[in-house]
Amino acid sequence: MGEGTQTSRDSESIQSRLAEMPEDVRDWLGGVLTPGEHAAGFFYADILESGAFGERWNILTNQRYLVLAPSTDSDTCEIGFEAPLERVTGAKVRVFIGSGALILTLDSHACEVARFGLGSQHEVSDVCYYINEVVKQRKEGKGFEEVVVPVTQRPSNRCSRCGRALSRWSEVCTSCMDRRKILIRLLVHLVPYRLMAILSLFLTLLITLLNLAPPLLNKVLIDDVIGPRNMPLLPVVVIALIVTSVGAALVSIFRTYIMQWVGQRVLLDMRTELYERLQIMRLRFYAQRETGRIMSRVTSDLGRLQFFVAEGVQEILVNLATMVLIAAILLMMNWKLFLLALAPTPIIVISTLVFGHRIHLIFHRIWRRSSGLTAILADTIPGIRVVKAFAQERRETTKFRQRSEQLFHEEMRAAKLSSGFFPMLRLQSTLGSILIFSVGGYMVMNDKATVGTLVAFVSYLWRFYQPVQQFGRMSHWLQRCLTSAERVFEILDADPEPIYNPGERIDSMQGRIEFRNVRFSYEPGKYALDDINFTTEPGEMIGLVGPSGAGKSTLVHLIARFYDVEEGGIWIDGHNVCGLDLQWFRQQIGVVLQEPYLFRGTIWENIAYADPDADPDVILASAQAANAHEFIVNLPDGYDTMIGERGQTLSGGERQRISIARAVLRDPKILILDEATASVDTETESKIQIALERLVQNRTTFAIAHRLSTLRNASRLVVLEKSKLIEIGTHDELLEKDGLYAKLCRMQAELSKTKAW
Amino acid sequence: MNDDTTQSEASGLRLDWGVAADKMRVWEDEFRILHLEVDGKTFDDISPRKIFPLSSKAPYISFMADKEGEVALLLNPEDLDSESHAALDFALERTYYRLIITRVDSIGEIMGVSMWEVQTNQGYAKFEVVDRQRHIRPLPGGRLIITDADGNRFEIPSVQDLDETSRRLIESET
Repeated sequence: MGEGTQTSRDSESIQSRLAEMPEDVRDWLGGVLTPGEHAAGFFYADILESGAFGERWNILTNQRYLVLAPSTDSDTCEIGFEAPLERVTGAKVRVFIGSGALILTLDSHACEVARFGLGSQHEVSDVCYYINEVVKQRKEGKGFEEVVVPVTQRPSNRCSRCGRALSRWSEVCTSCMDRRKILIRLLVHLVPYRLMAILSLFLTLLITLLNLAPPLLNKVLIDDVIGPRNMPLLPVVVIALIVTSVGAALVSIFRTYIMQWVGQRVLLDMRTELYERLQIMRLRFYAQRETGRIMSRVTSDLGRLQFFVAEGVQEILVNLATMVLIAAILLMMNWKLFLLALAPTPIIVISTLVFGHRIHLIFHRIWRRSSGLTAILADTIPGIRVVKAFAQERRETTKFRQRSEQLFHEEMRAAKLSSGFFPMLRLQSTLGSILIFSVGGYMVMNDKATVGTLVAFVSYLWRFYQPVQQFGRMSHWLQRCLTSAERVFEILDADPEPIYNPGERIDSMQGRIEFRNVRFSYEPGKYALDDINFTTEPGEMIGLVGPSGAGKSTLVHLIARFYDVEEGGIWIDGHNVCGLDLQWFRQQIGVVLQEPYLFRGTIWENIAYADPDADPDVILASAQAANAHEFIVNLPDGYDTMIGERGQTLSGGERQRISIARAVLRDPKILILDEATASVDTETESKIQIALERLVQNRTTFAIAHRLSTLRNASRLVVLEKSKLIEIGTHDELLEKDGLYAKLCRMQAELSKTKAW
Repeated sequence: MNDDTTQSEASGLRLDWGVAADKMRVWEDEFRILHLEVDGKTFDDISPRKIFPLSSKAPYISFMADKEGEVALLLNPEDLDSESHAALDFALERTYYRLIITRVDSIGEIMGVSMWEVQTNQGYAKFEVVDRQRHIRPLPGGRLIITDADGNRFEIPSVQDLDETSRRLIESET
């Protein structure tokens, strides 16, 4: 194909997609291609014209558009449709509800050539885009082989390994997660504190050993002291009993403290790691999850993991050690009795495994229900004014109660399972010891064992069943911990923003921004921005105009790289924005949003958010430029006033001016004003407008506003409608053009008349 | 960080409306009204405001008039002539009136409201604090600013310098 790097990358990507073509389709295609003809793209369409399921292979070659339909015997195929590329003058994907269609324009007649389930819409979109590029570049005189098609990279919503749908763009398939790996990853967090962890494990084993001594001492007491009336030995055995008990208690105090220390350290590390990761997660991650659910991962899920890492692992090891040690002691005491005692063990193990599996499913549901409940709280409490305004208190309460009841039912299902399981487990152990008492009693009476041995045996047996039972309980919370770990690791493993990756920095950035064939979608197949092309000169103020949902905010989000462009690219001073050092690049951008977000802290700290070491003079100058200085000085604590939750209450306009001061201090080369004056009254707006006029000087500015009058200073206006750029030009040019902008202007003029009335 | 500072400075963000002490005169009349003269222009009935009353990041004083808003921003109050200095200090003392707590006798609590009994530079005082997180504000150096239920202010310049009992009582509150 072509020579450039871009072209070879394209051909690679197309080749790799063609490689996914099934073997039989490749064979069929081989039979219908003419000499010199080769496939360039393909997709599978699974719906026939009639709406029935069927198999249609749509293939774009360098000469034709082909649809292959398998014959009834499925061994051969026939051409269902074909059109030479010269006749194709355009293509579009029409997405219906639950299916889609590819429509080709043939000699200016639209023609539906494929219907497909939405699973193949990425592939269809690619082919459609390819065709349009071919048509476009053909007009420029380029041949098929010279057509440059940008590589499209859409995040897949399915796991690449198992093909299962991923949970809401999580990018991590929990089904493919290796549980053993999760355990190891959890334990890795112990490595920095290994000495303390090992000490704590040693102490735990010491306690276990100390706890094993009393039954042995009891045996000595019965067989060697009480039986033969050996008075001198009595105080020795009693002292030994006291020493072991007191020793176990003392060691236990020390061990608990160390275990807590290790646990809290691990929690601290994991919490920090998780929070750090949350900071650099892509906005897509936050857009598709409720805040409450994310927060519960940092709080309750981590708490569970701390318990597991600090205590759980030791518990497992100690239980194992106890079982082995007791088994050895019992074997030495009386091997026949021991074999008898083992009888209930398989039942205990099997029932534990079954129980573990069932309880895991229930815990998953409990987790979902309880974070759903938190999400309701996080939703309605901030929106309480809306609830009250619409008098929906009762409905909200009912909704909460319903969810609460669902949680209750799930908790009760878990309780039912546990309450049945644990007594049954105990009963099995009791039956085991009754068996030993009866057989052992018989042995004692026949002088085949001593009374002391029998008593010690039974007492050890209880201690033997204990860890076996605990394994049952352990599987119960081990499952719970694994569930939590999955959720935490989902965040740690997800693809974050490349904020710390090195990239290009532009020396003395001018702020020339070029949009080239930009396409972007939040959901597959539904473009939020479609084929956007325009260039801004440094220092220009661009007003973005258009109806709601036209893509104005998306456009500025793409400039700030909150999201990455999927097709085409944005170029700043001739550099592709994707290749820039993200952290440095964001430092060049100032954003003023409709609802300014101020953090808990002083006004000073909020203005100096991007530069905490800023000189007081600069802070004051920024506040003055933002028209905020005077109202700040009038507050009791001046610039030292605490704001945010539990702090001084500020009006919307005051908050907005602080956020403008924050942007001024940053001295950005590119400024984004997203409805900055939409939620304030006219008087405040004029104050903010004055501040903004100072701010936009010498910066490339993108301003979104519904009130067109606020864009009166814009150098040019970009009018968007239905994800497409439809008009661009100065106010006067656009009025003259008499398009959407002129219409919007007229409507707003009428509206202000109505208001006056 | 440093990059940003340089950027901010390069952008011409300068405090260019500040006034130096030698261009200003401040005096108080017998009715306790503060007057200000800047560059030959006189302003009456003005109130001084510290720009950073708590953090003292900079010593700047803003002079506010009822109608005009800020009429002057004084950059170096220390360099005022002695009479002006005294007048300003006196006015600031009134604006930022606060009692200095020298000892805490007791802190009781009923339903989240804490009742303080303290010794101050002006003698014994008793006050209530609602919402500790908001109204007891710790500042660097162990300094504490307490605002009572009525909005009166108390200050502990350094908690460490108080006696053991006072310290322990305050520790339970912060």
